[in-house]
Amino acid sequence: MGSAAGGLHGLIDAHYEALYRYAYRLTGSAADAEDLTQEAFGRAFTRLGQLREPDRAKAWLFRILRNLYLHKVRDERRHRAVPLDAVGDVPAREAEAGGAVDVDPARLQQALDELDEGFRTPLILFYFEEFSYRDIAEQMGLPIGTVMSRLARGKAYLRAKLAPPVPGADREKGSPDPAGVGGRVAR
Amino acid sequence: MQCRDAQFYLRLRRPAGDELGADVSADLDRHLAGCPGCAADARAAGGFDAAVAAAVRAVPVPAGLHDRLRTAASAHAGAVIRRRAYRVTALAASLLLAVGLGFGVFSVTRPQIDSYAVVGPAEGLVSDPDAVLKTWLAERKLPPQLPAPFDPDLLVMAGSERVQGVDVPVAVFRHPDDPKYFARLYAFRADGTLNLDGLRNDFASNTAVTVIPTDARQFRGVRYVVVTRVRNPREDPLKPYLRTAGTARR
Ligand SMILES: [Zn+2]
Repeated sequence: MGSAAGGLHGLIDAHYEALYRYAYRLTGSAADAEDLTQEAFGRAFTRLGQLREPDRAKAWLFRILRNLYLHKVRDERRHRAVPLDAVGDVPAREAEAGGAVDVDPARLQQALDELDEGFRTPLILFYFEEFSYRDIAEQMGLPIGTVMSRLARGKAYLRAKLAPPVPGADREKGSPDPAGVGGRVAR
Repeated sequence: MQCRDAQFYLRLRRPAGDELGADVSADLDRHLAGCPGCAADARAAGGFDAAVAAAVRAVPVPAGLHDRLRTAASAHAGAVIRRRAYRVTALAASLLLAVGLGFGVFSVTRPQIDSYAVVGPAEGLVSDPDAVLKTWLAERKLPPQLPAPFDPDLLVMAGSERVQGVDVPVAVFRHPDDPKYFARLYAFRADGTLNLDGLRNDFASNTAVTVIPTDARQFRGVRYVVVTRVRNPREDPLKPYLRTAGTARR
């Protein structure tokens, strides 16, 4: 593995930015994100020997960071997050927002903060586009189907928050099935 | 495929790579081709995803983070290695390429060993030493100058250590010619807690403890103490670690 310090520095160089961004999206705060990133690397350094496949280092680091985060917030945060059950099912049809979507960064983070971590992490990792569903499932210790289902529901939640349906959009669009097959209220 | 399934899979289809499997993807495509409603949704979902993906990734990374992480890593490597050296001094010394680090005397148990330890190749432990030093000085709220022209290229780590019950900033420099030797520069803040005699007693007999005289105002009363392992009793203990050989330290 070469020298310890060389190994550590290589890990930092390759992954610190992605790790920090993940931490930021998880915590919603730059200071907390930096602390978490520091701690994750610190933890990783003490367990470097457990990293069997170097090309899995990124997923390994993400998992370490997430575990640290969960440990920190286990008590303080759970009560104010939107619990898993409250995030609705996938609506049968989304209203199409006309034109390009403008995502307000503050509202995006707020919407993420509102979600239970069990929804937030799959969403963040989905949009990072660096991990497959299988990777995400492994990181979270969940079946891949559960991850996909949470993703679909989490995305619907995000969409409702960030691009709420324009009233009457369905009608103007001339959708063939405005009621939606099995359409349901997201609650 | 029904509209409801199509809606579900639409949200899970990703721009990079098909993760739904060939069968599902083909079914979905067939459905979209024949269902204008879902096809419109697919376009909308694609636009939404692209916008959210860009926003989610748009997190500015703090400028100094990289250096802070690397500094912490070096300090960590130093600490780990000092602990390890304490346990397996002889073995480690014989097996690994040495860069001097750590007398170990400041740990709680005050181990009496005088082992140096091993942190990998002599070069490249600190890739941007000037930046690391600058960050270290700023973060420890120390004056922006070092009290003597230490050679940044010799920097092994910059961090802090528990000394006489207080966290004291410390920077470690290796000897340019002999990686078993090194200088530890401690910056004691002006709060009167430094017990120099106690400090001298803490060290093994073959170490030198040097106080660098400084202008109290310029250096805000910080007292700089350098601990070196004596290599040549006739040599100025600090000189090898300073940038301009021949320039006497003040
Ligand atoms: Zn359809």
